[in-house]
Amino acid sequence: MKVTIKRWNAVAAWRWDMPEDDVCGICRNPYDSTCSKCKYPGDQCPLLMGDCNHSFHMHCIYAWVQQEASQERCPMCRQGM
Amino acid sequence: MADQSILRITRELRDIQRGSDLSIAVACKDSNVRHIRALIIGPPDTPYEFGFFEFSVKFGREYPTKSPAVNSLTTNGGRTRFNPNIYAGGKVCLSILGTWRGERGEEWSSAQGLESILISIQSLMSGNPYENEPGFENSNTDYDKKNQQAYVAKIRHETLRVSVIERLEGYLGINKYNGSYVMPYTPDVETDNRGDMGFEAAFEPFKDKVKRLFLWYYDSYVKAIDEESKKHSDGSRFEKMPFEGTGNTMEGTFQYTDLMTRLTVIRMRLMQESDGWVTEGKIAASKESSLANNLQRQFEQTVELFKKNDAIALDLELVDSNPFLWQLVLFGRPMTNLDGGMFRVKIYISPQFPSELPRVKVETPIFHHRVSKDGQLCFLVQKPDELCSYVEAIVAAIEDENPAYDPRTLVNLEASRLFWGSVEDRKVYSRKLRRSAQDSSEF
Repeated sequence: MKVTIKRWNAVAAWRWDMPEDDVCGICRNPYDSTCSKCKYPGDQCPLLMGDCNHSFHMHCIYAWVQQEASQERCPMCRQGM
Repeated sequence: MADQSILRITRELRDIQRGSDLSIAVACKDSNVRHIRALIIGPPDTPYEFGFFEFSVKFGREYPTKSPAVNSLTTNGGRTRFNPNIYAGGKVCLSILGTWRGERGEEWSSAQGLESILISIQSLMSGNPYENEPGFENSNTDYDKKNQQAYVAKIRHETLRVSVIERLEGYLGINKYNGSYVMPYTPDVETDNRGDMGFEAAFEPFKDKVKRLFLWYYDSYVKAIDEESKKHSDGSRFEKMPFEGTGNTMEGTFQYTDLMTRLTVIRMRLMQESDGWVTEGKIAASKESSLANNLQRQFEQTVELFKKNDAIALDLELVDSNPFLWQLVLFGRPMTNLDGGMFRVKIYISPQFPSELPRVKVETPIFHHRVSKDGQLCFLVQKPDELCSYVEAIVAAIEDENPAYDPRTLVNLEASRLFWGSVEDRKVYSRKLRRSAQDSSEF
């Protein structure tokens, strides 16, 4: 049997390369979801990983590091970011 | 935008409420999730054992970047300092809350949260709280040792008196001087919120839970009073600790005889309350109230459900056709310690169900680590607003042969001691359980 493809629509899904059920330690939302300020996940709400290997939504960790009290340390392990 | 922290708070609340930690509870009014009440049950084997300590937790808009404000509400009206770090005025000194200068790495971080705060507070309630006071961490002179004991002794008394007995008396409207009925009042009104005191006083999210836990832990309270009353005669004064200052102390006298009387009155009142549900339920049923109909339907469904389940042999009926009082007879599973047993359990359902949850009483005498001497059963319900979930939980608790060790579920002191004791003890436990199962058919 011969099949001729006349038209096709590509569908793709993406996710961050992170353990599936892991959440951001700051907003406690899944990494694949957004930080609590953003509406849509994706490049506008990326993830950041510190030297200590702890990851957060970029917006979440920015809000924390901007605090003087944070001393620019990781909120999870308190190592320098 | 301003409400981004709400999401995280609701998530944390839900996680704690769904979790199975028996020693913390949280609640908030629908109108304000930023303002939370938390209940911490005093840890076993400490002077705070099975006390009920309530806190208010207020989250600001900057949470979780900034820590919430935490205040103790169990302060005997601002007169009692329960711990070197939990002041009479309600202040909680804790480095992660920023109310105490912490070492670097002990301060707040946005990865901390409600649960970690509550666990930190709970860890302040230790077996030797004297050493929580800065400067007394390593104090080991004879003078300190004497103080440590005296401190533990008075905390034990006040935990029972203030956090347990007065709280329950408040809930039940018991006049503490003569046991008569008075209008219920709230002993712990938030001091920082006098403006809307009437409103605050009406918010008692843990009332029902505390009543049920009181019945679980009743034997432990009695045992504590028995033991302590031998060491501290009525009327003897509490020792003052070197770190206790004016207006921030724990003063008073030991009155264990009085506490025992009050404890008994509370227990009796709680029993009367569940009996009252039955009478009220009867009336509701005769009027065919929607709750009565709903319970009737749930009963029929539950009966059907267990009819299909061959693994569990039980008999369910409504006592006196009252849908507010269920009777369950569980037949002991063959080849287990329960073999040959017939255990009668009553489920009392409140006319306020599900805002007040059912109470369960095992009527057949049984020697079991999860059944107290007067038949209170320690069980964990998956879905508190579905009655069939109670039946499942009751069966699971009675049949449970390999429970995880959790001192908060040990409601029968003697049975638990044997169950978790040496190999020989465990044999004695099994023997006693088997004997009670055999005797049960004659009961």
